[in-house]
Amino acid sequence: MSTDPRELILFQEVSKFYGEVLGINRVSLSIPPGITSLVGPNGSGKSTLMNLMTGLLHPTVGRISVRGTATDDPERLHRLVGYCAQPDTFPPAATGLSFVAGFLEICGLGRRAAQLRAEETIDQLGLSDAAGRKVAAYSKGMRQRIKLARAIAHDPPVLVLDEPLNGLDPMARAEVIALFRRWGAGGRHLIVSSHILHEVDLLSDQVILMNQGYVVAEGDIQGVRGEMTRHPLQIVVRCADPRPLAARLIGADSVTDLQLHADGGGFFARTRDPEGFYRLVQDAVLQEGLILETVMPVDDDVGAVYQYLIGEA
Amino acid sequence: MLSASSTAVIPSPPARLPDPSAIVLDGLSVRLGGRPILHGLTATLRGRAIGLLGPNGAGKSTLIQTLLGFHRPASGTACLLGEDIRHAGPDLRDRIGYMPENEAFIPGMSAVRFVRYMGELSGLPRAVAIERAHATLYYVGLGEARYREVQTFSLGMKQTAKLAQALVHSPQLIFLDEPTNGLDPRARGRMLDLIGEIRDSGSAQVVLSSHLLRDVEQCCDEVLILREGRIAAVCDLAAERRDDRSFLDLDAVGAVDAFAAALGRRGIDIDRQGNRLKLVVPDRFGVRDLYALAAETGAHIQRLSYRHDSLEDIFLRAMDADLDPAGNASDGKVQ
Amino acid sequence: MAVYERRYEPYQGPRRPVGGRAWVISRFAWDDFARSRLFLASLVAGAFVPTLGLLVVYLHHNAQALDVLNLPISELIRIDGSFFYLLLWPQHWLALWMALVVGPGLITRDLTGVALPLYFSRPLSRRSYLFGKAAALMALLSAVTWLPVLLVWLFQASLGGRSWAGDSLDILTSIMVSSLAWILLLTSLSLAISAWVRWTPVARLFILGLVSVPSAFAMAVYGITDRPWGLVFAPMLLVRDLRFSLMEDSLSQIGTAMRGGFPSLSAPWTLAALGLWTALGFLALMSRVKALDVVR
Repeated sequence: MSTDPRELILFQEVSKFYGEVLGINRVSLSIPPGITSLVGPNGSGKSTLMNLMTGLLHPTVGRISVRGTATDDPERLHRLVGYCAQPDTFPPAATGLSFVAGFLEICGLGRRAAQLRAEETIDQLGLSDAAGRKVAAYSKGMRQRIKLARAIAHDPPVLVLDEPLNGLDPMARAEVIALFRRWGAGGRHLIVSSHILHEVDLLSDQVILMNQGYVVAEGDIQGVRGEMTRHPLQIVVRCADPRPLAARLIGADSVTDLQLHADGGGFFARTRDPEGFYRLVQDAVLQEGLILETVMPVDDDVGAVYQYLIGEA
Repeated sequence: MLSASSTAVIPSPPARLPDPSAIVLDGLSVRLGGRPILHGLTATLRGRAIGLLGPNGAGKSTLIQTLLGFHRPASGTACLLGEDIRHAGPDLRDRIGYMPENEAFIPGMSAVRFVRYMGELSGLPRAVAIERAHATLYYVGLGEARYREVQTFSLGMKQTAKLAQALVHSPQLIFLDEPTNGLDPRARGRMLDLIGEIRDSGSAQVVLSSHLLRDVEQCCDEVLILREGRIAAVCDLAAERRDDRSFLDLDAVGAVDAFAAALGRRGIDIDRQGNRLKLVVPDRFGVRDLYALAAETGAHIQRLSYRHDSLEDIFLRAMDADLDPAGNASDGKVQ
Repeated sequence: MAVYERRYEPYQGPRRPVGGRAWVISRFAWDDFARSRLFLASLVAGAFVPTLGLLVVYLHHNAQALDVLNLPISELIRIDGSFFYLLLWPQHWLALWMALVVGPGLITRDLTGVALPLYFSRPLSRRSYLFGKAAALMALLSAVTWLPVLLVWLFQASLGGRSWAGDSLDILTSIMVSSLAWILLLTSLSLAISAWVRWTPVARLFILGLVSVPSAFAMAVYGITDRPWGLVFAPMLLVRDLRFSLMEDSLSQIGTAMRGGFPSLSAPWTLAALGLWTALGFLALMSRVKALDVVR
């Protein structure tokens, strides 16, 4: 993995307080390019973290650099970062096109160039038909997309997107996720906050889990899951006549607990050695003719990690 | 010309007899501000929890609002709880609960007062309303916050208070418009659990509109998919879940390439993404054969599960299907 | 022993009839009024003048008490139209004040909270919703206007005998008709403004402005043209005029003096103009109170 600060977003011992209210506390991060999802309850500091990256807020303590640029250098940062905020605020008379083009003109493009570039971006987001209409008359999903268009229009290498999928219908979600993938694959930074954990699974190269202003986990999700040794991996097995296999598994050191299903058609098991576990299942299938229906981990995703680290209550 | 062996689908006549356990749409058309929004919807929905899906602007909210009596049908009608919405007395709405999509509360009112007020407006006697307001808030998990004003609540709590007011009068039919919108994972999980419990209590039928297919998949046993104001599909999820065992998802490690190639040589359709394979397994080929083939080629199967058609597949197919001008997917069902 | 799990409990008991639901709205509105200290203080203040009136009537009919106090009250103050005008006039101002205190919040809150869909998804029509809100305000305004003054009239009638009552029916008419017209007008305007103006202080200014500012206009019209028609635009002057004109015959010199040289319309015209204002208010109200705003 690269350690060149020009390819990373770096937080060094960053804290942000609003008076006595904590935004984030002593956060150190080194975010590589690709899609990074920010996950956590409301009020956990996700938006603060995003606003700090975009330079809209300044840290109370600590230093942040975005691809080698300090966040107190607004002009360079502006060229570097595209931001899609969560609240919908639009100038009342703006059309989709003028909303994006106007922003590009602020970025220093000429009128003509801004217009062309805006059209191109809007087309990329599938809004060409509505470009001339007023943003005020857009549906929630269209507003979300026009905000994305504005964020990406000046082609910044870093995109900070606060709940960009909120309000999008299933089709639009799939399209936008595909778009994010393309953007992320091109070496960009995409920082995306989301509450929809199964989409985070689908989308992200790495996740940052936040709770009450602290980063509670960060990294690629399998790695994070592997670190959580207090919670051995839970695997569900569904098969005919599960008891012999269950007995064999419970004999293995790595299996910490096992619970038969009430219907007698399978069991849950927790293991510290998934590889070994799968091998035993394989042996049972091949050597003893086990009629297997399902074998799969149930807590190896962001949802499970979230539940273990941030909790249900 | 129908013989006993004919495979033609015989369209069942639109249900005119009101079935109290179902939502019956009978040629329902709605125009708003002169624009047609819903085009002759016809369907009979019997699920305990019915998912309402569709792209933005497909007419989901309009449908709910029409069923609630906020819009008059331009033509056609619908029956709720066995009553025709055009002729139903006002007391039909005593038996209906509604949780709107947007924020809805009364500033300056504590949660318990708000819920009690709504309960009394739905016909609960005064003493009962107080009792049920407390019970409902306790049930949805707002017990500790019940004396606080709703506008001081977090988004998740506001949504929950909105749910409480839709439940307080014990309706038999509950419309939930995007109940998980904007909720964080914990609040969303709790909301979905609550909806599931209400559904399982058997005392109320739930209609859930959502953009999140997962939510619908988790809560609902039937879905109605709208597209451009027409029915793109009606689908019994419970039946879908029971059927269809021909798809397998598996993760393999080791010589996955060789394994995939070997599967291909045996004429098995595979869709591969990294280590994950999706297969259409022929009947003659069992799980054991898969493991054997993997062992032969030097791969190890880790995860393995049958996959029923996910709601996403159903949804995407419904979006591609042709709509006939009468407003319904060709035979009302996605095949 | 038992374990009670938290679970969803349906209710199968009886329900109130649909017809009475509007009263629920009134009752909750009243409860909300009662939480405001300003409201309670105003209500107490509203009892002051009528109590004074009762006292005067009492003294009037108790010569002994007068002797003790050594006051020739019966000569100073006569219980006639002018006397009742003096009672009615501050109460009408108080009603305006009350409408300013409680009126703006009545519908604004339901609109800012977007609660109307919650109401209308229940067995409530727009009319019953408005009726419930209006009834709460009208009950309140009644409590400070005609109710206490009527009480004084009845007290006087019981003490002054049948002949006084018979001669003073026009006073009764003036009390009731002018108060009801004023109450209806205030209710309709303050509800309408409550529905259109979200910000309470601004809403208050609006109500105040609507009822008072046109008065100046009316007087200007009168000054220039010597015609009373400008009055049509000045509801506050209309009600003032109504109070006088309905009991013209029972006014003493003081009353006539108080009436002064203001322009005057006949009672039917005045009532018609007030009715128009009230109707306009309710129309403005209806256009705003809907389950949903249909976009586009």
